[in-house]
Amino acid sequence: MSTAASIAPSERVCAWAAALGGCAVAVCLLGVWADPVRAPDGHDHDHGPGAPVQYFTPPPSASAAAAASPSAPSVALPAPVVVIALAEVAPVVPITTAPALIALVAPAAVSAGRVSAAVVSPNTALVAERFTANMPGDFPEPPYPRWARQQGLQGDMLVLVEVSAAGAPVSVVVRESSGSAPLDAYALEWVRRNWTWGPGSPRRFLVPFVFQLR
Amino acid sequence: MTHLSRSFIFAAASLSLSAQEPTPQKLSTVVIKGSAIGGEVTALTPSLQLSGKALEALSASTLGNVLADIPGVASSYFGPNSGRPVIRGLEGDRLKIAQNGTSSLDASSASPDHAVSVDPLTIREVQVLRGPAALLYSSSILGGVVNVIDNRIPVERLPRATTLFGRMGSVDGLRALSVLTEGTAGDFAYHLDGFTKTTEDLSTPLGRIADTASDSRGAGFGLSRVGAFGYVGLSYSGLNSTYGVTEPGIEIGLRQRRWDLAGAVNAPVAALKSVSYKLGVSDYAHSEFDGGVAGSTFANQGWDGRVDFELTKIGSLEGVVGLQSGRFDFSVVGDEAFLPTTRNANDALFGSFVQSLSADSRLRYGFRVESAKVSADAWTHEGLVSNPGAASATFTPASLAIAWVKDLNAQWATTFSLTRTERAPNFQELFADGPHLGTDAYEVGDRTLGKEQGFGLELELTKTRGAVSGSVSIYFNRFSSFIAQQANGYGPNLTSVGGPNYSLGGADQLARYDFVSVPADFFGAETKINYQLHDTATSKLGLEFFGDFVRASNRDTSEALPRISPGRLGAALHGLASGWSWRLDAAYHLAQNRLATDETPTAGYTMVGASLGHDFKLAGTDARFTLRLTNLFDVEARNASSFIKDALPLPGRGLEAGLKLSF
Repeated sequence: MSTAASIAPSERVCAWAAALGGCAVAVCLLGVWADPVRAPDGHDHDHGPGAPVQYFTPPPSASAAAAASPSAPSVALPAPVVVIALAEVAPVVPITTAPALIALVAPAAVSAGRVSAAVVSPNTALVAERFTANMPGDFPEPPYPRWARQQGLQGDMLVLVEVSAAGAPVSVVVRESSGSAPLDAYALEWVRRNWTWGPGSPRRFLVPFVFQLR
Repeated sequence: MTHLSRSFIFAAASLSLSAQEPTPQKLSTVVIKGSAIGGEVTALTPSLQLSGKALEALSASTLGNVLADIPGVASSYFGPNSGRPVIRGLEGDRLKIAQNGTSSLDASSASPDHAVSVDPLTIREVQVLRGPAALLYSSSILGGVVNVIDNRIPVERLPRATTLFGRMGSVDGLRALSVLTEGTAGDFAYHLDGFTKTTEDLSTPLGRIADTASDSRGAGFGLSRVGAFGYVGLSYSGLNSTYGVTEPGIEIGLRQRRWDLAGAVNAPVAALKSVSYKLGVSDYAHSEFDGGVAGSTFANQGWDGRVDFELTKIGSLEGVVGLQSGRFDFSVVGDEAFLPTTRNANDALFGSFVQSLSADSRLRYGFRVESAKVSADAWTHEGLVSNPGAASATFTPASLAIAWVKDLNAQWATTFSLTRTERAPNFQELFADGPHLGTDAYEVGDRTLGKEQGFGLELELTKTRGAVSGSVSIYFNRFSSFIAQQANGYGPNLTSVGGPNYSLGGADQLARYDFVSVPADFFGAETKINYQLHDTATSKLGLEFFGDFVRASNRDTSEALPRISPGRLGAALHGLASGWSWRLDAAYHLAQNRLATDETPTAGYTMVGASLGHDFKLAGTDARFTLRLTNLFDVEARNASSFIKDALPLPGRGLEAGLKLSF
């Protein structure tokens, strides 16, 4: 302690400059060594709204690993969106267009057995490659709640929504929890209060939510 | 939540059907991104945020102490009860402290012994803003802006939560209890908080320092109507505090009552993402009691309001523009009447924008134009000038900032900032004429002072991802005119008009300090680097290095500016294991031997501290226990930024324990 008090101020400035420079060099070296520099094509950081986003990858299941390519394609809003679809169970059958998907699901509640029989056999999952139609309805984006941000709450969750023929969410429940009960409740509340689908027949949707602080 | 990045993707998905019932369609992911540590997310994003456990783990004594561990920040430390942050060597009115975005309307910028009227126990989040984003709150941004958020007006539906937080400390005999209740009933969200805190005389390596005890109580209540439209809410809060300022027999009794109104409307028109408004009305007064008798009373009554328009993204441009307006009347009555009663008006127009230039670079820029007027009443007063008449001064400070952010790759980014700031002199710098006990000086203002003007350059390199993360920044701030206090002999002899004799050899001899405009240079560097050695969900280990350095000079005389904390260099080891989080840190603070006239040097010292936290269940409720050990080796240390560094060392060895229960 007393040594620093005795050195001349100018020397101390030099020592500081050297120390800080050294730190900068060290962090560069450590950074390169710890995480080799990648080309910026990955875009794994955020540039604000409208920028490419990372996709949610559901918890690994047998089919998920097989179905999903590890790096999801990036998508810019508000352009039509590319989709990675994941099934919960077993093998994978690609399906080409989404309108078909909706058409398939819509009558499903009425005659589930027929539809499934016609389209897929049990334990079969489907992947939609591209979905260009804007699904009718209103799906405002939820803001990150201030209380969750302040407490550092994050998590991935899966919400199961049952939609009535009129398009209103009839039941909104947690399929997979984010690990934080208030955050789960927030997502449910948001869907229940703010989301409406276009009219049709009763349907069910799985909505993955990702709460991510950076 | 306007400053959050959010991305929402809606698209189709998969379906898997079983024979029994239709399996739901899976929609594409809703990604809700929040900014916890900054990044160039929106025009509002602060460069630093502290909240939650990180905030609770810090000292509860003053706002200055809360922020003092951040590289580049020091505390003005006028005893344990009064301390404003000093950032990059800049303090007082140069460093705006906002409360929920509006002015705190206290007297803390007028004197170092006046506490900030926000107790750390009511703070839920602290933001430090720099560069273009800081222009939303102030035109003097070379040090940054500190925005303190108390959550008193709910902005959204709140989950029901009640927490009780008790703290006890050995070094100052701290006994604090705070309670917080939040929830939602129908379309209304409510917030209720309260605290009580007492401290005894501070223990230092030299023994207990008399007249440093304190006793504070505060409470706040807020109610908002929340919905898809946005929110509108009202809060009322109060703070009563009595504290010693190390001077024998002197005690300050502080009282503030404050109404706040705030609201936001989402997407009122296509061109706007949101419109938010805030208004704070405050009644502040503190009296300095000498042996129980009120000596002088400082009062600040005023309001501050703002409207922010968040613009819908146009192409690659997004931003916020707004208006801010405030008025306050500041008066001092009594022995320490070194100021006339003043009415202060400030109106501002500001904007802050982010524009993407390419996939890996963006420009942030902002402006703020103010109109400031300080009007002093006619003053019946004997000083250098006898009974000065009414006077007023008007200024139009204009500030600009531009920052270019370039991503070098997915992990590294660099920011280059240019800032030009102007600040109108305040009532004290213009009109002071009298003995100021807080600074122990006869202060003399200058009615002809012009604007303070400065220009700043900063280069920052950040690494946000990977096992090694952190930032290094260097800056240079040049003021063509910097309003400083310059020693100028001794105060006047007023015995001929029946007043005291402040002159050399007089009964009340007092050094005289004049507010003058001088050219000044500040340069420095800051760094914080974290090396995460081990990182899993349940077990973590990290090594952190931090340091800062600042040097400030009067360019005319090449003399140092007073009260600059020269810098420090430190390391910390922190980890998480078996549900226990812990941290061990050591920092070497440099000696300050570059001194202003009549300033005393401070020796270098090393501070070692440790902390421990544990989450557990206590009778079915969530509990968190924290333990903090400060100044482990009981080192006698003096804070170079403090006005009373000669009289008061930093606190000695201490242990602080806290227990938080969440129901």
